[in-house]
Amino acid sequence: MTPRVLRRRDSLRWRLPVIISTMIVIVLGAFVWMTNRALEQTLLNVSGERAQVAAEQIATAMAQSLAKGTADINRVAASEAVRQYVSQPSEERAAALRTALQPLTAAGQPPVEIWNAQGDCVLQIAPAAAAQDAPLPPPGARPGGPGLTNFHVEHDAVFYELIADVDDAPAEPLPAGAPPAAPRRIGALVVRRSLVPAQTQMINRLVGNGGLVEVGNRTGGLWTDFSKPRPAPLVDATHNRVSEYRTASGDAKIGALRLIPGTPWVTWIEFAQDSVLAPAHTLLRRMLAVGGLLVLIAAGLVAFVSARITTPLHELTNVSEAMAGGDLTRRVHAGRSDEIGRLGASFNSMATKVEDAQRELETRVAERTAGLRDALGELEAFSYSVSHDLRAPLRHVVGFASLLEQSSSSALTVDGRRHLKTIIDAANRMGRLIDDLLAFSRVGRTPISSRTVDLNQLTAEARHEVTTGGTGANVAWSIDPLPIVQGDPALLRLVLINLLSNAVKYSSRVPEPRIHVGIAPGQPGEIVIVIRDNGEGFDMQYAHKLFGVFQRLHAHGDFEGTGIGLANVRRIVQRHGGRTWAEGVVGGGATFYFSLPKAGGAGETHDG
Amino acid sequence: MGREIKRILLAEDNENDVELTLTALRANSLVNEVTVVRDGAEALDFLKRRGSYANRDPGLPALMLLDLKMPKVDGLEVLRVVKADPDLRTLPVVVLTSSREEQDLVQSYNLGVNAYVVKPVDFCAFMDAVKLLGGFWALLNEPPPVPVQAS
Repeated sequence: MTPRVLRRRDSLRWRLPVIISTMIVIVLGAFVWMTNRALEQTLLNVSGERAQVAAEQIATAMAQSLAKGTADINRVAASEAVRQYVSQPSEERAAALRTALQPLTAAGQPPVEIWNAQGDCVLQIAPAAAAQDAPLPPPGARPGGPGLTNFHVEHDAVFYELIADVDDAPAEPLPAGAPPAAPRRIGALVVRRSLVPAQTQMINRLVGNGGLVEVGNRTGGLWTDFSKPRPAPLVDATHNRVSEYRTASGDAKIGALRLIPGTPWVTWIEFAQDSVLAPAHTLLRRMLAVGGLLVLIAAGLVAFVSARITTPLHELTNVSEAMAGGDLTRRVHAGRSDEIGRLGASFNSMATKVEDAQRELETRVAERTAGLRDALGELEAFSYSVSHDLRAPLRHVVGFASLLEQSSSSALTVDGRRHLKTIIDAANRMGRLIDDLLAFSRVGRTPISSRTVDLNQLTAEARHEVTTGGTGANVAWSIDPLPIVQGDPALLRLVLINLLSNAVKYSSRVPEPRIHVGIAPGQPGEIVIVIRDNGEGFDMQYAHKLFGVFQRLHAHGDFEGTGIGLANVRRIVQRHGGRTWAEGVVGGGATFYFSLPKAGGAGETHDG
Repeated sequence: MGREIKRILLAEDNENDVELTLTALRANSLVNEVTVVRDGAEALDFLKRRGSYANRDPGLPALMLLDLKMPKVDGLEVLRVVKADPDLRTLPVVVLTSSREEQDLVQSYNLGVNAYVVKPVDFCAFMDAVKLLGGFWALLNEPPPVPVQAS
C-alpha cells in the first residue's frame, strides 16, 4: 500500500479555519452592510425631518413678520398725511409726512420712498439715526403693483420691496345705496428692505451646525443665504417636500423646501449628506475594525481546534501506516476523553488484537513448519531406508532364483521352470516400481532451480531420447515453434520425456502414428503446451485417474509402464505453478496439456 | 613382482550379497583372492593390520568393494578413514550398494571414492556389473606402488 501524500490545501488543519473565517466574513459583512444601510437611511430621514421642521418654522416666522410689515405699511399708506402729500406735495406736508413715515424706516435700511402716479419718486425718507448729511441712494426702479416683490439684487445686495398704493379719498360721502366709487391710485409707498445677516445667526441656531438656510423666489432665478446671492439648489421650488440632490462638484445634499405663505418666496434648508452620515461612517469603521478583529480571533480559535482534531488524526495515520509496514508494536496516545480519544483507544485495542493475532499466526506457522520439516525428514529417512533395505531382498530373490535356473534347470519340470521365471519377473518388476517411487519422491523434494529454458531445445532433446534405439521410428512428428519459459530445465525435460514417450508408446500400434507438439490458448498469464497423438486414446470417464501414482488405464500386457510417469508430470508442473489436464477418445488418440506461468508472472508455488 | 597377489577386499554384512558377489566374481574367472569382512570395523582392522588381522601379510589389496550400510562402522565412515589415512588413501575404493540416494552419491564423491556402483536387481545385470568391476580394477588397472618401508 502506498500512503497518499496529503497536500497542504487538502488538510483539515488548513481548510477548516479558511472555511469558517470565510463564513464569518460573509455573515459579518452582510450584517455590517445592512446595518450601515439602515443607519444611513435613518440618519437621512431624521435630517430631512429636521430640515422640514426648521423650514416650516422659518416660513411661519417670516410670514408673520411680513404680514405685520404689510399691515403697517398699508395703514400708513391710507393715512391723510400720505394722501395729502401725494396729491399736493409741499414742504409743510413733507414735514408731517416724515413724522408719519418714521416708524417704517429702519437703521441700515434704504429710505422709504413716495412715488406719484406719473412714476416719479417724489420723496425719500431716511431713518432718523442716519447721518443727515449722507447722500441718499438713488431711488429703486419704478414700483409695480401693491404687495411684496420678488427678491432682486442691487449693488451685490439682495433686496425686496413692500409696496402699498396711495389712493385719493372720496370727495364727499356717498349717498346711501349708491355703489362705492372705485378708489383712484395716485401714488405708491415703497419700503425697500435688504436681508439682514443678523437673522442668519438666529436661523443657524435653529437648524444647527452644518445646515444651510436659503430663501429664494418661487419662480426661481435668485437664491440667497440672507447675505448674498447663491447658486440655486437643484430642486423643484414649487412644492413643500424633502429632496436630495448632488451639486456640480459632486457633494450630496439633503434638504426641505417650504413655501412661505403670503409671499412669492420659498425657504430651503439643506444639510451636506457627508456630515449627516458621518456618525454612520464612524460606526462603520468601528464595526469593520471590531469585525476584522473578531475574524482573526475566530480563525485563531478554529486553527487551534482543528489542530487539536487533526494532530491525533495525523498520528493515527502515521501509526496505521507504520502498522501496514509491519511494525505492529506502535500505538497512538489516547489520553483524551472525547470522540477522538475513544477513536484512539479503540484503534489501540484493535492494534493489540492484530498484534496478538499476528503473533499467534507466526507461532502456528512456526509450529506447522517445524512439523512439516519433521515430516519431510521422516520421509527422507523412509525413502533412504527403502532405497537401501527394500531392494536388497528383491535382488537376493532374483539372484538366487537365477542361480537356481542356471544350475538346476534340467532337474525342474516345465511348470517349475515357468514358476521360477515368474518369480524373477515379478521381483524385477517390483524393483522397477521401487525405483520409480523413489524417483517420484525425489521429484517432490528436490528444490527447483529456475532459469530461462528454451522449450524448443528441450523438446528436441526429449524427442531424441525417446526415439533412441529405434522406438517410434515410423512416427510423423510435427513440432510448432515453442516459447521460452522460466523453470527447472532438468525437471521440465523429465516432463517432456514422459509425455513424448507416452505418446510414442500409445501410438505404436496404429499404422501411421502422428505426434504433434504445439501451444494452445490458455488463461491470461499462462502458456499452454499441447502434446497430441493419434494412438489408443482413453475413456474420458477415467481422465481423473490419469495423473495418479501407479494409475494405469491399460493392462500390463498391452503397454509397458509402472504408472508413475504422469504423476511425475503433474507434480513437476504444479511445482512450477502450472496445471495439467488431458482429453482423449478410445481409439481416437489422446491430447495432453500442461501450462506454465509466462516469464515475469507468478513464480514457483509449492505443492502440498 | 610374482610374489605379489592381487586381492579384493569385500566389505559386506549381508551373506546373500556376499554369496552372489562371490558367485559373480568366480563365474567371471577372476583368479584374485577375495577377503570378506562383515562390517566396517573389521574392514579397518584388516587394512590397518590390527586385532585379528595383526599377523596378516603386509601390503594392501588391489581393490576394496565397500557396502554403505553396515553394522558398527558404516561404509561412509570407512571411506572417510581410508581417504584420510596417508598410508591407505591410495587404495582404490568402489562403493557397491543398493542405494541410488543422491546424498550417498554426493558424500561418497566428496570423500574421494573411486567409483560408485548401484547393484542392479536383475541378476544378469549384476553379473555384468561385477565382471566389469573386477576386470577393470583387479586386472586392467595398475595398482599404486607399494611404499618402500613396507617391503
